[in-house]
Formats: sequence, structure tokens, C-alpha cells
Amino acid sequence: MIPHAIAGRRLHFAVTATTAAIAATLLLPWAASGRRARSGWELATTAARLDVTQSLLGRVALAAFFFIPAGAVAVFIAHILRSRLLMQVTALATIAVSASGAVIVLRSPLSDRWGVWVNLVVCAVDMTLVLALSRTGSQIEERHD
Amino acid sequence: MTDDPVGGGNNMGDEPPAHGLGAHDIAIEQAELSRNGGPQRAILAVALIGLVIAVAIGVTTLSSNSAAGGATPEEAVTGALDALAEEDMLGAAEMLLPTERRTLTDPSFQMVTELQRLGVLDASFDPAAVAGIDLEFADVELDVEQVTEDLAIVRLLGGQTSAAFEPTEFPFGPLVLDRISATEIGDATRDVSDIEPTDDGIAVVRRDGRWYISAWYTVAETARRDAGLPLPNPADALVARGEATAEAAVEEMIRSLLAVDLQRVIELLPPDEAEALHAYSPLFLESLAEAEKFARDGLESNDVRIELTRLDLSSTGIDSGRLVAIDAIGVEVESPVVNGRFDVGDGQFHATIVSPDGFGRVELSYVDGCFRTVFTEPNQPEQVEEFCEDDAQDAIDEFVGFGELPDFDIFTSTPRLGILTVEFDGLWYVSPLGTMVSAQVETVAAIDAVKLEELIDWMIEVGEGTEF
Repeated sequence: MIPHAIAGRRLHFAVTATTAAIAATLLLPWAASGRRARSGWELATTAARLDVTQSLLGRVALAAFFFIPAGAVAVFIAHILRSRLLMQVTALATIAVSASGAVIVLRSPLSDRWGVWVNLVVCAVDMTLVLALSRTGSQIEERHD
Repeated sequence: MTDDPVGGGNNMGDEPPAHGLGAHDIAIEQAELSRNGGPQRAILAVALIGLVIAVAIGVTTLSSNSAAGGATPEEAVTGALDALAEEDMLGAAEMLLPTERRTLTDPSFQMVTELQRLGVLDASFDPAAVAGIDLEFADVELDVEQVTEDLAIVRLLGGQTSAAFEPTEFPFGPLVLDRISATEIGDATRDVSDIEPTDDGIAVVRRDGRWYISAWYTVAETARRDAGLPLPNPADALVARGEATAEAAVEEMIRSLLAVDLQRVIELLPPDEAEALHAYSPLFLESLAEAEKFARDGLESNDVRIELTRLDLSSTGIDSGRLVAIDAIGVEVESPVVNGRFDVGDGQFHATIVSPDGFGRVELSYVDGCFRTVFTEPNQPEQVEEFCEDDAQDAIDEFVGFGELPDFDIFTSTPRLGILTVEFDGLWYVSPLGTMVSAQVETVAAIDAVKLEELIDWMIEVGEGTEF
């Protein structure tokens, strides 16, 4: 058996690494318009330039997309500070924004590219890890009680 | 600061012997804290700097998003040509004047969706990359004429264009391909031609330091040059002036039209769609005023009075704005020659045309699916004619040689038709182009795919059986 301190620490590290991976997938090709493939970051930039979102929610979601790298760094800071709550909140926010962006691209008239699927898979893995982290924490708290 | 009972030091040491929770976990924590206190603070400082940089990148990218278009007029045109050559519709859209994108691009996407639903286009049809069509531009030479600080005309002086169409690759839908093969549609073609220099060019306008191609400025500038007029003075240009609600904008438009107040009609057009029209308005305001005066004087001198007697409007929200339906409208016209009253609404139509000299009276009406006309002449009995929709169907059914007829009503529902209004800065404007486009999209959207197929099959059958 691995002590829970070690297991939790590994989960923290895994969540940090996976959230960083989400940010990295923004540089992969997400969709193509004609023969020109664009990364997730380029797509978001183009979407903002073309003012494709009219609703407040859409504008906020698009703006949030540009802060995914900041979200990944925030998760790393939470890792250093050993703050499980901060890690869960920032990781979940990053996952939500990134996965929403990926789904919007898949539903758009653009031809999707492999990068968007990689992003979704990494988001799913990160989500699983965050849930596992939450569960581990709850168990420990229960035992402490 | 730590709220994690599990611990999370980034120093992944060797695994200690396995045993339960509690004292051992706490010991690991304490040991790591005392061991890593210094380095951790350094890593945290670096991470915080990283966070600031990441946030700065996000803010910078977000705030520099107005950087679409080109740095120069030439770059805007070459950018658009390059994007078209790559069939990159997003890239091409970036070079379009932002205020024109909504009116030019949104309806295309809506129509594609409906044509896919009806099977005219295949589900794989990608408006951003249409298979079977290939455009290429080579050795394009441009000439830039700087008209004003914010307006330039870019002319194509030379080069080659190549346009290819391959029917077998084009994503026609089952409605087409189940009835005709792609090879029957036509042969693959590739047209290569030299670009001939012309006097007319593409208008490119500057907004916030970037240059964009403008379809409407191109039209306006071409018309100005053809008419030999000077550049308009921006200070004299009409300014868009909307109304507080969608219904109010439409009512004001109708009343302005009836009052022959064309300047107000132009003011009610959206600032994006009619930007060029407003900018070039000083060139035609005088003529417009003369035309208004001529029309009003004509009505007045001939003793003609036009009055709006009833106007019931309702609106529904759609993606691009609010669609205002005219539920009922009544107009009364009085003149020495003829008096008329027209009422449309509640699924009925009534019109009465009376000669004031007592020569007669005509009443037209449409009620409960029946058209009725009543002619009244002095000293003559009333002549009444009635024709109902059921009679029309019977007449068609009796038509010789075409057998059993399909249901000509191919709509699943009544298309949502109306006048499109759009909002800018809290005020509403009437969009003529949007109205036309939304009418097309809404009409196509109301078509039942199965009924359309049956009608087309019937038409093909009739066509094959008919000898010319």
C-alpha cells in the first residue's frame, strides 16, 4: 500500500501535468478552413477578430479561452501551495473552457482536425484525475474525523 | 495556506514502507516542508511570474483582436486573394470590413444548413472548403490609388486566374444525385484567363489603423466615379437614426414611405449595412430632396391623400435580430379620380375601389379561402364572382394527361416572413438586405423535404412523358 500522502501527491502532480497538457493542445491543429489548418489558439483569435459571438455568455467564454495557459499555471501554483481546493477549482475551470471550445469547433461548419480530439481526450483524463483527487481528499478527511 | 491534508510537495521521494494513515503521513509532510521550504519559495516566485506572463499573453491577444484586415490596402487585397486560393473562407472573412461581415456571411451559413436538410447539398458540404471547386491566382499585379486617408482603390493590373469545377467531387446531396449522376451534370472544367486591367477597382477602407475590403464602398465609389461626382463631405453625411423598438422602426419606415420622406427611410437603415450609403449620401441628398418635393407636390396638386388607417405589428427574435410581421395593415387613398381602401389582416383581404364621379365600385375580398369580387355600376345589377381554393384544386385535378397530382403545398408550416430589424447601441433599424435574405432562408426552412422530393419526382415523370 502507498501512504495516502504519497498517492495524493502523485494525483496533484498528474492533475498539474494534464492541465498543462490541455494548454499545450491549443497549439495543435483543431480545424481547417479550406486548405488552411488552424490551431485552437489561432481559431479563438480568428473568432474574436470576426466577432462571431454576439451574446454576453459567448463573449465571456471566448475571452476565457485566452486564459487557459494562465489556468494551467494557476494549477501549478496550487500544486506548490498544496491547496487541493484551489487546484480543483482552477483545473475544473480550465477543463470547462477548453472542452467547451472544442465542442463548439466540432459543431461548427469547419472541418475538424486531430488536435481538437486530443484536447477532448486530455480534458477527459484531467477531469477523471480531478474527481479522483476530490474523492481521495474526502476519504482522508473522513478518516481524520 | 495549505488546505490539503494529503500533502502535495513537488519533491517525489522514494516510497516509504506501506502502512496506514495518520502519523506517518504527517511525518512525511513535516519532513518535506522543512526540507523544501527554500526551493519551494523560489519555485512559487517563478510560477507567479509565469502566471503574470500567461495572463498578460491572454489580455494582449484579446485586446489586439482588432488586428484583422491588412496593414496596407494592397495587403488586404492580396490577403483575400491568398485566402480564396486556399479556399480559406475564415481568412477571406478577416479581410472584409467588419460591419459588412454580418450581412454577407451569416445568411450563407444558414442557407447551407437548410439546403443540406433538403438534400440539395450533402451533409459533408463544408462552406469553409467546398470540394470540387478550385481557385488559383498567379502573378497578380496591383495598383493602389489612395483616394482619402481612409479610402483606397486597388485595381488588378495583371496576372492569371484559374477556376476549376469537378462535378464528381462537388458534394451534391441525395436530392440531386438520386436523380442525376454527377457526370451528367457536366464535365470537369478549368478556365485559365489573364486578368485584364480595368478602371474600376476594389474599395479598401481603413478602420482602427487596419485596411479592409468593402463590397458596399466598392459599389458606391464605382457609382460616384461613373457619375463624375466629387468625394462626399463626411460632415454632410446622413447619420443612422434608429427607433427604441423593432416594431417602432418598422412603423416609422412605413409611415416615412407613405409620407415620401426618403431621407428618414435612409436614416432608418442599419449603420453597418448602410454605412457606405450614409457616407455617400451628400452626393444624392439634393436630388433626393428634389424627388421628394416633386412627389409631394404631385400628390398635393392632384388632391391625392394617402393615410395609414391601421397597422398591427408583432415581432419574434431570430439569430440576426427581430423579425417584425405585419399582422394587419390598412391604407386609405383619396383622389379626384379614384378612392380606395385596402385592409389586410387576420387571414383576410378587403379592397374597395370607388369612383368619386359615381361611375362604379369594385370590391375585392379574400375570406375563408375564397376570392370574391363585386362590380357595381350605375343602373346595373351587382355582378358577383367567387372563386375558392377548393375549386382551384378541382380544376387542376381535372387537368388532362398528368394523372394524379402531388400535393403542391410543400411547406410544413407557414414560413416566418417579416421585416428584419437589427439593433445597434440600443436602437433598432430596418435591414432591407436582411429582410430579403431572411425571407429566402425562412421559406426554404419551411419546405418539407419529403414533399419536395415527391413534387420533383412528379415533375420529372411529367417531363419524361411529354413530347415536344
